[in-house]
Amino acid sequence: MYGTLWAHQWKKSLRAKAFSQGWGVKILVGFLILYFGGMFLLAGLFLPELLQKAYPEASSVTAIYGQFILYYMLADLAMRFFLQDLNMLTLQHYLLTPVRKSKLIHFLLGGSVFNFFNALPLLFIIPFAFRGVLPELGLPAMLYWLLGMLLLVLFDHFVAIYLKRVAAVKQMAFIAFALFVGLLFTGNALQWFDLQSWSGSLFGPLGQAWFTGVPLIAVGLLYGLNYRFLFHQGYIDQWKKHDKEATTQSFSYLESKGAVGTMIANELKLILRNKRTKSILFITALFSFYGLIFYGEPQYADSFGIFIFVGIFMTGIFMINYGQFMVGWESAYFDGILTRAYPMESFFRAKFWLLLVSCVITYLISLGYVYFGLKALWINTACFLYNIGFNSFVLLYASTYQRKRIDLSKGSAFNYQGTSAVQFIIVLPLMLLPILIWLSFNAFGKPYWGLVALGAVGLISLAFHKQWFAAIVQNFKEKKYRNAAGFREG
Amino acid sequence: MDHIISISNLKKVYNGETVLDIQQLSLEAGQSFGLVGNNGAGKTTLYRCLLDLILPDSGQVSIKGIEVAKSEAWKNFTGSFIDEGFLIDYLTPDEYFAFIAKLHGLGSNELKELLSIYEDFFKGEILGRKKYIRDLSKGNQKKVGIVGALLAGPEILVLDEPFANLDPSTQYQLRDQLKRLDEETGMTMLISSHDLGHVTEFCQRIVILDHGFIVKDIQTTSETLKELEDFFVNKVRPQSEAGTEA
Repeated sequence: MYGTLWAHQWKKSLRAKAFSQGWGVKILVGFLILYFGGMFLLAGLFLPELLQKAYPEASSVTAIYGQFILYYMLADLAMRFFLQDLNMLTLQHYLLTPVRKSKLIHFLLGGSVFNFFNALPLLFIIPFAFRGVLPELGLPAMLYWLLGMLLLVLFDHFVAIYLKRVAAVKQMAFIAFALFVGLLFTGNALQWFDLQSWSGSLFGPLGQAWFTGVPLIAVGLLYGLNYRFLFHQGYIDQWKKHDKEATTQSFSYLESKGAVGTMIANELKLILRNKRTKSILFITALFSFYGLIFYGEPQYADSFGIFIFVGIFMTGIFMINYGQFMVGWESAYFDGILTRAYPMESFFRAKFWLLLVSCVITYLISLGYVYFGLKALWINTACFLYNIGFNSFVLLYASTYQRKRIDLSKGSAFNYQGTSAVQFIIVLPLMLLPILIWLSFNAFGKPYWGLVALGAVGLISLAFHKQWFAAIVQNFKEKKYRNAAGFREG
Repeated sequence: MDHIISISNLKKVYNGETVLDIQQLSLEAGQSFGLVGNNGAGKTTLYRCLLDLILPDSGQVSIKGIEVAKSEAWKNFTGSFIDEGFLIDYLTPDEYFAFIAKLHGLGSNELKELLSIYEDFFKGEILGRKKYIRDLSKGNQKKVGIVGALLAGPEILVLDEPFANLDPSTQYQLRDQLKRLDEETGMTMLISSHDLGHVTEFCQRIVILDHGFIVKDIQTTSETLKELEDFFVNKVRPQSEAGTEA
């Protein structure tokens, strides 16, 4: 029986729509996996030397390692909470078959252990066990240590999937979890308490036989908790979201502004009421801190080019993230758009206004970087003008080539649905061209003239908005049959 | 203009297989027109060609003398609903109707008045209920789509299987409403259905599509239902057997 379930599970992932991506995307994903895997492996291999260097007076790297386990587990938990996929096996498909429910749930829980987030730490832990722990504690203790660490990974795994399942039903659980983790890190940063020494004493006995029992019991209890939760969730009326009242934001000001205003309002609703687009808002908020990596770092103080890259990215983060899949977001009802009396130019004008306003907002946020000097103001202003005047139209034009369906109800982390060659090609005019423009002036020792040129390209392009819209609508009409067929295929 | 819709030499081929091949089909203004055929007969392909959603390999469709692929003017007076893929599913029904009204330049009072006609049809489950279209049942989604197509008072109405997924009472309600619209307005209707009873009830002309071809083109009389039933029974049974049983 488990064999058949495995076979189904295997087919489900192989035949998933997200998996049937073009080769470009597959290569990219493969590269990312290799990259992260390689980084973990290298870190695990050379960790003993690194720790020795960082703590020259310490006598045991295993003990130092122990001081960081708590950090690792909390960070891992947070990452899993956002990125790990719950959807192992759809229980509903099997409820009417004569398979015992307990068996299904054991399969569901047991099978969930085999995933990327459990495999990745192995690359790190196992090399360290051999190179760091083995010489210090000897073979038997090293094996207990390794077993203990693996159980801790499993502990995180079961906590994460439990929290995620609970949070799917009760939003409060998510907020409570975020507050708890936030409080721990804040308290640690403000030195109310010391997570590092807690971790050191808590995991000090790791490697002793009796201590392995602690995580073992904890994992067992969590497994039971998950099991109980799923068993009681095994009735289909509980899976449906409880008839939550739809939040009906109204944008009455926009809606009073004719068809274009209503279309903007509709698109705002699209963004606010769907999971994947909501996570783009979240990413946008996160990336407003992106500049902190570069600004304020002395080694970048005199560089320019890197800040243009950062400026384009920050003043256009929402525009680029959302705009690259424009029209694709509406793939589910694209036939409706084609048959309704949509004035096509208004359709694209509405999108343009949306992108423009989003850029104004991200630009205002980016002005905070003036704290690091006026240079930030000039760079971000030039990038802003380039974004609204040129990049916005490039994105709209590219959107007429969009023909991959997007499911709005899926999160956006590790979600490549809708990605095609278009998204790779538009990076050139979007990010590379502005740097080339600037470089061509910088070559003559005129970096600020380069900024002026950047802003001028944006403004001149903006002046040709009529021609842009005409070209976009023209191309949309030519490509619409192909796009509609692509969207219908799913 | 006598022929409000005219189709000529329309042909669509997918992977070497002809799925639609219509020499000539013209619809008179104000006529209600039923389209029947088994799955795969080419009904949806015909609709998609008509609504300029796919390009035929040859031939053309004209609405009021304008080729649909050349101009978009037909969208202003054509109401259509094919499936739930036409609905903006993250809007509430109220928001969706308001949006359609806006596209057709209708004011909010006119909209209220138009929606009040369908109050019975909605059975209090659609309007003013803070629910997104995606959270409605299939039947209720269909109601939203059908009313959305009818809302702006189109000259041409195109519906694909409007009766499927509706409960029996609602089916009769919809049938009566369509019948009334047919009698009281000059609306030209194209309705496809698997329910032979419903189409014969109010369609003046019925066409059977089979493997992409028009195989029967009937002006509805009291004999029509029988004729249709015989056609579909004979498709699955030898001729003689069907004859003796009838």
